[in-house]
Amino acid sequence: MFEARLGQATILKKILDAIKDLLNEATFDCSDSGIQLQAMDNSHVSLVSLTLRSDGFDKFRCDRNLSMGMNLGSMAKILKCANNEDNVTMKAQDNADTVTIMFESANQEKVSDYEMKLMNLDQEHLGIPETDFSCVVRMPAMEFARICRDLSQFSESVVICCTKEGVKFSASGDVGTANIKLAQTGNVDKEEESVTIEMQEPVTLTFACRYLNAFTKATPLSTQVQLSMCADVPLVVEYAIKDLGHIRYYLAPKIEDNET
Amino acid sequence: MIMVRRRARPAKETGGGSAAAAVASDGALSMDTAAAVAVAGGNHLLDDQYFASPKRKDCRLMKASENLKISSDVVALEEEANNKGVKPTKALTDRTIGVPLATRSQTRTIENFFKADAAAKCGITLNTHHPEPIKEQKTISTTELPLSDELGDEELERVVGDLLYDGHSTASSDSPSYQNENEHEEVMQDTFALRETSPVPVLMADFQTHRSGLRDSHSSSHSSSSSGGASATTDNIFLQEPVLTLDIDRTPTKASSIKINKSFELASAVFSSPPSVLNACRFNQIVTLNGGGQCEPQPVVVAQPQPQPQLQLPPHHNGFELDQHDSSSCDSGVACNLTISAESPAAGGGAGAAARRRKPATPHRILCPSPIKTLPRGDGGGLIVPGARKTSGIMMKGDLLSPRKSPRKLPTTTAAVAACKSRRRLNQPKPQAPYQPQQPQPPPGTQPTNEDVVAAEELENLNKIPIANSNKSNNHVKAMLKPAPAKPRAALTKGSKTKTGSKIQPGPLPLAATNGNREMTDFFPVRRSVRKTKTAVKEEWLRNLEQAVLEERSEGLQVRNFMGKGRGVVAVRHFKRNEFVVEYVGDLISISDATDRERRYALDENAGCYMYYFKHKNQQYCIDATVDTGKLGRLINHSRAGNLMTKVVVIKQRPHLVLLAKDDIAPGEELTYDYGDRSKESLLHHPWLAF
Repeated sequence: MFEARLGQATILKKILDAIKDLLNEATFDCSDSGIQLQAMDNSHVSLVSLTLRSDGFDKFRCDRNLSMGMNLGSMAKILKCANNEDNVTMKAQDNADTVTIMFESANQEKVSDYEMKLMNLDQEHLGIPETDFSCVVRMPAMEFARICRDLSQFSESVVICCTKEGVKFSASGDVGTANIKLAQTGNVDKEEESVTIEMQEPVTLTFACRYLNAFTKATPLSTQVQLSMCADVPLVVEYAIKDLGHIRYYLAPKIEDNET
Repeated sequence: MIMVRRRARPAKETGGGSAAAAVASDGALSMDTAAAVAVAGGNHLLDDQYFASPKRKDCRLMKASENLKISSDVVALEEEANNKGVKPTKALTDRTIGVPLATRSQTRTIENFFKADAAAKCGITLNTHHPEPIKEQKTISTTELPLSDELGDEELERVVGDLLYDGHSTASSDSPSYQNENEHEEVMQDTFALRETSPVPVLMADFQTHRSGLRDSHSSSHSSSSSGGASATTDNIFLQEPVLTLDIDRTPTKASSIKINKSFELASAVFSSPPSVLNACRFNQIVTLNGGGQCEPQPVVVAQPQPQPQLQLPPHHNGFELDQHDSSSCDSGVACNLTISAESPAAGGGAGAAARRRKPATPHRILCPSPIKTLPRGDGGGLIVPGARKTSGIMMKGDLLSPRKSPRKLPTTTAAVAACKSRRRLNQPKPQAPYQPQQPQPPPGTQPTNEDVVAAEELENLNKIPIANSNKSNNHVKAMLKPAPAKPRAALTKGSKTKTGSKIQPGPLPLAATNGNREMTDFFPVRRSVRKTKTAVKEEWLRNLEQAVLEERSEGLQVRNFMGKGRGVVAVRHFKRNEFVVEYVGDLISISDATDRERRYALDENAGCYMYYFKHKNQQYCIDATVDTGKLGRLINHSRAGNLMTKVVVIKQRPHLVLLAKDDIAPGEELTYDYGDRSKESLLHHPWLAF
């Protein structure tokens, strides 16, 4: 028996919005520690890792480990049926082939049940090693989304260059070149708007804009985004989900050297 | 069949290409369904499609004259096939052509809707004819063919136009006077078509004669139009001079006409699967078409296989169907049938408004006859022939198709039985026309040319409009012009889609492309989830133990001297719980042997205590490790709270005593286990056993 209850459907909605563009379907691995999801997009260029801790749920029960393969498009459709303030409860029997998603309005006057068929997905699971990143940049999520959007107009790929002074995003294409530099914010009045850089050694990496733009779909989940970079290692874009966990996107760097 | 196909295709063209009235679109659909049914009968839809494309290419490659000949020949062959009841390869090819069109029609569906809307608007205003002409013109323009080709194309176009006109006439049939006029116009057009066609095959002669009369009248009216193309335009003048010319030119292009046919076929193919009733309705329609085709064949021996099946089906439904059957049996009969159908619509839809619309449409009819016809028929069918037509939407569609023929018939009915001949003539040309329209449609691929053509068409339309003397017509023309360009674009887009291959759909996923990007699997190893059942895990563990015993493994152990108890064994690495540590190696002896040895060892003070007794499967064993073999197992000291435990592992039917970690063991810990000997005698000799 699996049962997880969230106070606000809006969080789940945002989570699904954040992953459904990258993934068509994914497996939710439920254990008593929480819900985890790891999946690569079709091209295997990026990877989504979602962690929702059990203590972040209003109620969480998972008697046996359960893997629920879901079509995320269908899941998103179901979540569209929920009001943002509704309580959401996901339920599944141990060996069920369906998951029940229940929305309860705040005043308990309206209860809607949606049962979705589960899929048996044969997806590859990647073992992600612990990595000491050369550069870890924390910046406002909105700012990152804006940068990715702006630069994607110029080129398919964006170069992220991180030095002690700051981080530079640049793109060059037929139109011309675009450079956006962000310096560390000196005084941290508002933590949400701060830009901080932890750097062991400077890094320059190239990434595909389209994936970064897909990652920024998670912007509503968090005010800050953390970019972790290391040479010849996938970029990690992490959005924290307050009190619940985090969603991490891994993006393999482009093979830039040969091109230039 | 040919007739049906052609008509159906033209109907589609009109409905889809030239914004035909909604009704027209419905009619086109029905036609498509009918064509589909016919195709389905053949079960060669795919084949047809495949064949169709080559034919199109061939047609394009072929000179206009050749194309004309081919088309005529094909028609004749098809007719023959129909007569024989056997589906001729040519028929198949025609079908194939139609099929590709159908595929396009699938892609075009949206376009068709748009066109249909435009047509509906036009049709309402009686301008529907204009749109159709525009389409034809476009097709012509798209196909840049020599004058000779144009002539053949013109014939085809004329036929198509006639068909279309017929539909228009049916639409206009509500007002008898208009109907008559329309019929005359149609007749004129037919005559033009005959003239045009005359160079091609003699088959058309009958039609030509009828048409010629009509055409003469029309030609006089259209005389203003320019030479070859102009003559065509003049013919169209009845419908609308510019339109006719355009049609002719376009028809030469071949592709446009072919495309139309294909579209019809495709539509029919799609529909073919549907219910029998609908099919029957469609069949009825087809039959009417067939009747038209038969009329043509009579001179040339035309009998398509598809028409026959259609004919069979039709009888079930309506009197119209019967008429159609009759028509199939006899050309004259067909004409009569057409007239009957026309009459019924005319009787039903006597509305003056409809008639008015139809009147303006008539000139337009030539240009965009199919859409108008379809529309009027849909209207007329609903109004006029409630029973038969009401049977099903498909039936209505079929009627619509037949109505195209019927429109002409309607005028004839209103005017006189003599009109039937003209109708027949009209019908005859129509079959040819369908081919032409089909050919023009394929050309859409040649969009660039289409643009020029469109512009020319627009000019022509503008010229025609003044002739029409109706502001509405002008507006319609404009509307037509607009839709026409849209159509070619749509066709182009369709063509491009088909060319590129709709299969490439995955493209939409932006992330799908890995170009220049490395994959995650390059960086992170794929973790194969190896979930094992408990038994599997245990088996593996046992296997591992056996392996360790066989290897006489004794790693991570060190012998150390302990004050007060001699040698002992200490772990130098971490041992996990249940992990194999060492085997207690010694001689496996039976109890009797053990007692003997005990006695012997008792004599030796230094022998120590190395006899391990254990019970396995109800049999008592003893392992004697008294002899110092250098193995570490015998050196492990006793502790009642030891960190090892013993386990018996059977290897090759021989029990082995294995020491496992009872708990996680840290490096540096002394390894001990409980010897398990609690006897007083033992305690007496080995007091340390108590600890």
